[in-house]
Amino acid sequence: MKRLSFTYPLALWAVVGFLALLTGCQREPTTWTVDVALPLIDDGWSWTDAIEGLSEDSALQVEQGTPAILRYQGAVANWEIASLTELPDTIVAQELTPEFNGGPFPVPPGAVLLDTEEDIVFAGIDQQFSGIVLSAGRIEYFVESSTNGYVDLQYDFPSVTIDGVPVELKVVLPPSDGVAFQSEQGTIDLAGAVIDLTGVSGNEINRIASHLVIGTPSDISDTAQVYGTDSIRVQMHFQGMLVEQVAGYFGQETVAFDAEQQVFHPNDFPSGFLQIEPTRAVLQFRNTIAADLRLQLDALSVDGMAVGHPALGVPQLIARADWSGDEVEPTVWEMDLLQTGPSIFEMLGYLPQFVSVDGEARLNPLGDVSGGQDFFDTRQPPQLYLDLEWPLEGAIEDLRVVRSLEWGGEELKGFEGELIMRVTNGFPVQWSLQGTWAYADASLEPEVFTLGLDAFPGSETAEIRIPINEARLASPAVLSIEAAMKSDGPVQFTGVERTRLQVAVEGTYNVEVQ
Amino acid sequence: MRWGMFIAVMCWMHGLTAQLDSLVWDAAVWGQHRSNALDHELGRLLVRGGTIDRSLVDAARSAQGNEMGAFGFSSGAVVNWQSLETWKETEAHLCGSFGLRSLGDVRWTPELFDLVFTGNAGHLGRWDVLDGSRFRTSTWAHAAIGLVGKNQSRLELGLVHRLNSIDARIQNGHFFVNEGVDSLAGFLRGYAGWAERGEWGMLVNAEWHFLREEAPFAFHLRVQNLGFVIGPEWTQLSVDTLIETTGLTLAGPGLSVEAISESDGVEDLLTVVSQPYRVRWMPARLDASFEYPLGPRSGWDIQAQVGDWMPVPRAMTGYRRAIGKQWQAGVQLVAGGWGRLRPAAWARWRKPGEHAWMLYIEDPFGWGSKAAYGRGITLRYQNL
Repeated sequence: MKRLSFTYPLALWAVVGFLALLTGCQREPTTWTVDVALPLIDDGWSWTDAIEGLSEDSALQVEQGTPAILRYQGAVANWEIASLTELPDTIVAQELTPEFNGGPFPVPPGAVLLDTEEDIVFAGIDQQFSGIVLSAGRIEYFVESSTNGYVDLQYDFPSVTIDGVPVELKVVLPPSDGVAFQSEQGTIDLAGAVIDLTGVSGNEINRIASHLVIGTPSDISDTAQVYGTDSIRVQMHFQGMLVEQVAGYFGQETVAFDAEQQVFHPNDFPSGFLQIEPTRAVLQFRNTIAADLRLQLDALSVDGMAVGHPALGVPQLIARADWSGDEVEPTVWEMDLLQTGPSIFEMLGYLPQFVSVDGEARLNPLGDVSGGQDFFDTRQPPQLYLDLEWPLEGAIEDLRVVRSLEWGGEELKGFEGELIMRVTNGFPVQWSLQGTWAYADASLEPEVFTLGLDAFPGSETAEIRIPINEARLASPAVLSIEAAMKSDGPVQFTGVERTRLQVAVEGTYNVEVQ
Repeated sequence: MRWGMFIAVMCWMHGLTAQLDSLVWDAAVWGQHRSNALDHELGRLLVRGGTIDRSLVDAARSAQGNEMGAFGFSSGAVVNWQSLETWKETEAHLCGSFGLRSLGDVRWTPELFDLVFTGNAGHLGRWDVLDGSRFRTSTWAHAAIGLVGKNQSRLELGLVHRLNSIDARIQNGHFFVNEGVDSLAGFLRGYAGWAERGEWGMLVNAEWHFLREEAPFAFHLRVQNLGFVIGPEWTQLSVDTLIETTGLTLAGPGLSVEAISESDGVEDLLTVVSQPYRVRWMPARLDASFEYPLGPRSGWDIQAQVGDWMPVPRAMTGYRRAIGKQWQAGVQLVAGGWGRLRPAAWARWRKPGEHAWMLYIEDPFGWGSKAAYGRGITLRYQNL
């Protein structure tokens, strides 16, 4: 029998550990090649994608059918009236100074030095406003005192309420040291404030009632020592006031009405002809202001070329909107665009960039017929509104459409393969496509290719394979496709047509594991 | 902290054993790895790095066939001891063991192997199944004490400290790209978890030996590492996502070029769960062996092992023979575990009354061959 000894196993463990260290220290990257085939992009353009995307509020819709109906019912321009939507900045300043020389004179706690009710007048307003609701605005105040004692200042605005609570400013300033003024400043947010502008008497216009009390605080026992040279100053600065609702009399202001609507952007639609023959095209002016208007549209033009219409140049009196219910009942005046000469839609067929309307409108052309009861909600401005119904049928001649896709690049080490692009045409028109794959890396030559597609139904799929390697795949690029469409005479669209673009990649690359 | 506790236990064990006047003990170190698909050359490139030639990948794929691919490794060192004094008034003796062990298990479907090493281009138009692919590894140390009785049957109860543990698994996974390369479908449900700190637990080691003078055979049963550990902090990433697309749209929410370029990539698909504790079974193993003497100096044995994360049970059968007074040797055939049928051989030399050495080599022809699918070695020292 032998005594216990750990020498052998410990030695063995040490040897094993040493060998493990030797074998575990060396490591280089492991690499191998794999063959991949993956779809990258599958996208397309239907009528819905191409046309509804132009309208942010979905006013433009395509109703599928035979033929499909393109329908636009929405505003094309708002009438902005700056004098009703923005109030000028106003500064109100008060200074209280003793009416004596020398001093000091003791002022006990709780004494009132000034108690005054005054109207704050908004200067620079030509209209006669009786009330407003603000969507934004603020009061920046600054209070200072040189009095050797505590000063209590209470500034109330009973005619300005936020959520039903009157706005007020209460400031207690500590005693001044006789050298520097004690001061305090801050901001009162007026967003959502309801303001009665009839003043202290209730019969004024453009005035805010205010109540200012200056004294010594009753809950502080110190006696203020007042000299004849002391002063207490208050400054209230009304700034950035944007109106949400306004009431009163808006005056007889004439405001220009110039609207310009982009129709076809030349980058997207460089050239061609598209036969456009709507069955309904009504341009409306919708007066949402509770004030009479006299509207006169002087000119209607397509890319600078005048279009005639019997209503142009003729003043139109548009009665005030009805705000008596929960919803505004606008007063509508309209003109039938199918009566234009030359036809505005024939001109639109040549893919113009802009359609413009010029004119002016005058508020209250008959004066204050409502007795100061005009009303305007800036969230619902007067609008130029288009009601259009266009059956999608007609001839297309060399209509060119340009689309660009951005490729961010993909790092695949050692990649060698092909970019496969497949286009499927679902429109009953012939397409010829010219594509350019332009690399951000200027040292790489762009790939240019062309594809021809027959009208649907037919051999409407075309495929092209572009050799691509690691550098080209890694480089960000822009794929630009210019598609030219033409129809063999008038064709009818159903609204379900779609052109499909598919991009896949096939190739070999090196996997590297560190 | 965890090392402190373990060292304290070891010191206690050491102190306990040091008080014993006489012991018999043995120590063993071993290491083995085995695969049914990855040969040495491919394994070396994966571990050490280098360029993997497609011929190696094709050979591995051919070896795997349509079965699940498997690779496993096991290494460690253990010391078993036994007191020569009886325990109190009984016939039993105190015994114990302590050791360190590392175990790993990797499995993959043929399709997963193809996707990783050859890509999907050769699989267009067919569904790739990834279910059951898994990677797990663990390293632990243990110290156990117990009693050994008649015929060396013994029972030990021990403390185990698992130093690290990783477990990743694809529970369900499919991948498909059609022949026109214009549609893709992928589904993945799985997890990857790891212990942030060491885990502690209990284990039982037990042996039962049937030895009778009147019986011409012997039978042995052995259970190792039957127990559990409690992990104080377990982090797990889970994914359960389905992608079906004919490609990406260029813009908009969901699967689009724009959305993916603006997202955080894969992180958006992962759910991270941190559990305050987690109870896990230890990778236990059950051995059953049968020995039959063919003569006074030779015998035949057969053995089966299950557990140890092996994908299939391992079976061994062999012939042994005594050579002279000090040598003994044997040859075996081994099947199952992580690999296919392979030979093994062993030799034992002893100095009567002092000590013995035994060397066991699995797949001896695999040593030095790049084309072999594993190798194993065990060195045992016995204090007699």
